[in-house]
Amino acid sequence: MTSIAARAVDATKTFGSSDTAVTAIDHVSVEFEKEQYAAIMGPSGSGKSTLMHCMAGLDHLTSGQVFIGDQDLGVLNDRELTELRRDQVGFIFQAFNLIPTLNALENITLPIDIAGRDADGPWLDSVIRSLGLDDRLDHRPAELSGGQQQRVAAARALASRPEMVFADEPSGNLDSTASAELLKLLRQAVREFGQTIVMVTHDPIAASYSDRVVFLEDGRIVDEMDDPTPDRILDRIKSLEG
Amino acid sequence: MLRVTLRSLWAHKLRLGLTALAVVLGVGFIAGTFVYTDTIGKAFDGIFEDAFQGVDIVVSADSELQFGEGIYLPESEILRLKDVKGVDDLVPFLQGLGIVILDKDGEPIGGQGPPQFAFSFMETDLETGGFKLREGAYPEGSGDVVIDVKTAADNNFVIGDNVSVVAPTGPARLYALVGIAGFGDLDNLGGATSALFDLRTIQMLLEREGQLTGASIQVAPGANVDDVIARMGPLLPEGARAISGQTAAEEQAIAIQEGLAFFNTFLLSFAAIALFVGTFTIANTFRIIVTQRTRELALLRALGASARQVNQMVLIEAFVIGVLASITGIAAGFGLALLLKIGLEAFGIALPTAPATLQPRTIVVSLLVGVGVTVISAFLPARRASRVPPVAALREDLVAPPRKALTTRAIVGSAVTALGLAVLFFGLFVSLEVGPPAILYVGLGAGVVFIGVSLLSPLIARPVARVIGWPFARLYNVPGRLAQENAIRAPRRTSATAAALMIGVTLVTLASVMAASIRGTIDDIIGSSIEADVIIRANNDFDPTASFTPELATQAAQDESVDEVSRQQTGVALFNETEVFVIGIESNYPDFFPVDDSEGNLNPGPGEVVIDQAIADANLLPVGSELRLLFEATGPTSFTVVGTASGDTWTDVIAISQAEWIKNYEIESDTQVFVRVAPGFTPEEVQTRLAVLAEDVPTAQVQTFEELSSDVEQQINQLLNLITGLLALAVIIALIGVTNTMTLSVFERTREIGLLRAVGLSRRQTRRMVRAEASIIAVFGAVLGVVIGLFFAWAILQALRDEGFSAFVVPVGTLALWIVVTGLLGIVFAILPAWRASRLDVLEAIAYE
Repeated sequence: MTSIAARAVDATKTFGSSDTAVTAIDHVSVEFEKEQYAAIMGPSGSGKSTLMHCMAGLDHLTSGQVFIGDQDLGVLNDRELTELRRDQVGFIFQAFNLIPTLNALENITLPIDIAGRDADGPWLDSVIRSLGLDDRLDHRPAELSGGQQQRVAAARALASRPEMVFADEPSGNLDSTASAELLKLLRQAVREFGQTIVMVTHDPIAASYSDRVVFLEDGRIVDEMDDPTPDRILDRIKSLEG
Repeated sequence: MLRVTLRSLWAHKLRLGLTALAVVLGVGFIAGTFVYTDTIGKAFDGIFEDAFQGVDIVVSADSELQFGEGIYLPESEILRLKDVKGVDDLVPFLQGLGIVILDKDGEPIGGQGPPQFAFSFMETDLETGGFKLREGAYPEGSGDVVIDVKTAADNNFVIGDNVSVVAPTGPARLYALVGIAGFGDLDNLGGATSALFDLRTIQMLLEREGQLTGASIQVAPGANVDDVIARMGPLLPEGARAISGQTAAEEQAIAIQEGLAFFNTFLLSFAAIALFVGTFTIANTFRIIVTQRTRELALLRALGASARQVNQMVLIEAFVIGVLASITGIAAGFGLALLLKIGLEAFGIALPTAPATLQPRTIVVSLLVGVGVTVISAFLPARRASRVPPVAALREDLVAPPRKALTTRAIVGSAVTALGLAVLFFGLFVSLEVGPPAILYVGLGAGVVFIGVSLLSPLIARPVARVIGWPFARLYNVPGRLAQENAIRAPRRTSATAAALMIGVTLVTLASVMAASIRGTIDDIIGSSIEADVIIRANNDFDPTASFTPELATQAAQDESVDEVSRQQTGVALFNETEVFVIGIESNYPDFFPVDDSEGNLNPGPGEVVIDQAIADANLLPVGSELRLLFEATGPTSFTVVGTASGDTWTDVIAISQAEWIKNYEIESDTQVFVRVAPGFTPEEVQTRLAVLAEDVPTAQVQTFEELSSDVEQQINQLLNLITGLLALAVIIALIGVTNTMTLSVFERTREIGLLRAVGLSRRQTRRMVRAEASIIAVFGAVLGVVIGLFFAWAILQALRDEGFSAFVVPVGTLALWIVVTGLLGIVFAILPAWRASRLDVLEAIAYE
């Protein structure tokens, strides 16, 4: 067993064909360690979302490899990728994270239910409790605040104990209080549950909750930073821009 | 604006096609019906033009009846007309109905719809139309017969063969086939069989010595036809009239057109049903179009288009689709006309044909209806489109804003349903005695009920869909549960889609229950109300007056296995200006048909009649009053009502004594003979013995009542199949609606499906989810349809109780099968949207930039 939860090796993704081709990520190699909270930062169009999509098995690389654990995603077909997402990956998106017809609990157990498995009761309980959702379980998404909705999404991502959780601007639609709360909870999940999280964001404050920040620009990794603070991140961004 | 509309139309060809399909099918049905009946009409026109070609004057009976035996005129008086000034040539003719030609196996030919004719046929100098010898010779003498080309060809008869022919009054006789004739250019007379004899022979065959049906007359060159007719007047025998050949052709053509008009209406009512269903489907499709284009419409609004312009844009789009679809529908109608012909021929309804006829009326009606239905259906969606606020162009979510609560809908829906029911019940119970308009009220009432129920159905969609979805949730787990939830998310849309299906299923249910109940009623009657074991009846299911020789009853009565027989004759007469059946009965008739209740004497003597209690009540004809009947042969005759009876088998009965019947119809032949089995014999044994007797009378068949009942059941099932087949179109149009609705569902839930796919829903599970939702909607429609259909059937049967419909039988198995089949069809019609959902690009679906 390695201590690497996911990695990309020489990953390249181009969109479009020859003339109009745009290279979203350009020969990126990066590793994400287990039980670490990592953030990918970069300006719009830097390729951070594309990198995440490819690493999460939502999109295919043009060249190079991505691994979840020891599994090379490039060799998987659509069905196997779907199962991998279901069983080994958790997702938190910026918006539209929940199925409106299902209540909070059903949304949390959705991937487990899709797989037709029984939820791990005690684990589920502790996730729900730590995210403060005990008394919201039979509410439908429309009856929840934005922050609560994202916490349900976080609970869903954690419920099946995935290898990796990918979060795409999870706090992007939240006010600062709800945002801080959610990010704290995610960090807590890494500390308490030993979860691995990779978060894409362009917000230095959000990124500062992570253990490690990877800076992306024009599809390449241009810098990294351990134990970031908002000020250090801002400084780094300024220096990168300058 | 117009350019934007047309561009948008062109850019969405598939969407256009789906919308248009519903219109094309409905209009195609209308156009097809018109083309088909016009073609048949033209063929018949051709036949009559041909028949009276070269005939200046026709002398015939002045008949008010078109059914049953003809009126006969004295030959001597007709022949006298030859001496009228201006008459150049006169050809007397005699014709008869129910003259059956037997095939080489001794089985009757025809009798399954078109009539079986016999005509006198002779060589004349008259250049007339009608039958023309194709090969061989004219019949001369009592042993010769000529038959039509089609009958000869179908049964491999060639000149020189012996052909058996049976008249109602006697046994089969053998004739030598001396010639084969066509009717003008046609090979037969509209599907009928024709046997042609010389005058003396046919007079003997029909037992009409010295009598004629009429005569064809050619006037001398230069003579005025009207003048000659006027001069004939005083010389015409009683009950005869003389008209010009042209008038005769027109009269016959009109009679046929009236018959076809009924047929036309029958088919058009199914087209109307299909189009009514189509309006639901089209409205739904336009709602989909408007929703899918919310942003585009909002952008137009933001750029300065007025709400009215947006409204008009949608209506213009509907108009263009309506025109294109109607034109396609007219073209499709030609194909459908051919299908109708083949389909009806499969049911044994053979009609003459001519080259397909497209009248301007067909085009006008098809266009008006097609465009009208499309534009009217688009009315509400267009209004909705005009209400899209400009700001929607900038909004993230495409989902339409939440709409008003369902309270208004509950009130309006209930009011509409109540109104529909009121009209329906008025048609059933109040106006029933008036006649034709009743069906109009019933149809209109049913239509309004459909609209009312479709308004109300969103209110029950939630609980019902939950129940229907339960098996899917069990079977498919998460996809099933999601489908269950999705089906009730847009209860209005679910219900609108289901309502379209409901209509078709309602009518199928109605037909099935009616058929089952009629079968039940007949079984009841045979089981409890007829004290007979075996029946001898005419071998013709289409003509209730078809008859056979009375010899058979006489012989049967003498058989040791037979306890007693009762003969019945059936004929047509006019009563209160309507055609009724008058039966001739024997004195033991009431023993065979026990009454529930009776008054007076059930054994009518000379000048006496026994009638159904209901007829007596409706026409104020108590025992002792006078009842007038108009017979074709003997004219108006008065009878004294000596008895009234009620009971299953006495419904609509107008019975006179056998002697009286024979006197008034001038013929002695039985339509039915009821047989009671002697002790020690089973009905089957008696049937076998009597069948031997009946071998010489192929026009009669011997059946046990068990066989009779299964025969009747078969006929009812055949009719049920025909109606179900015609209703299938309405169901298909509704199912297209399911496809459209699911397409919209998938479109609206792009994000959601993307999310589900991201968190691990497989493609197969995605497809299952969409198909299950479609199936839930379809079954919802089917369940609504079955419930309403049962109610309609119950109401109609209640209204028909007086007519003797005592049973209310629910064919549970059939109805359950329909629900299951509809559910499966829902799955089939969701294959495309399900496939699209499973192919959705996950990244695109969840992207939000």
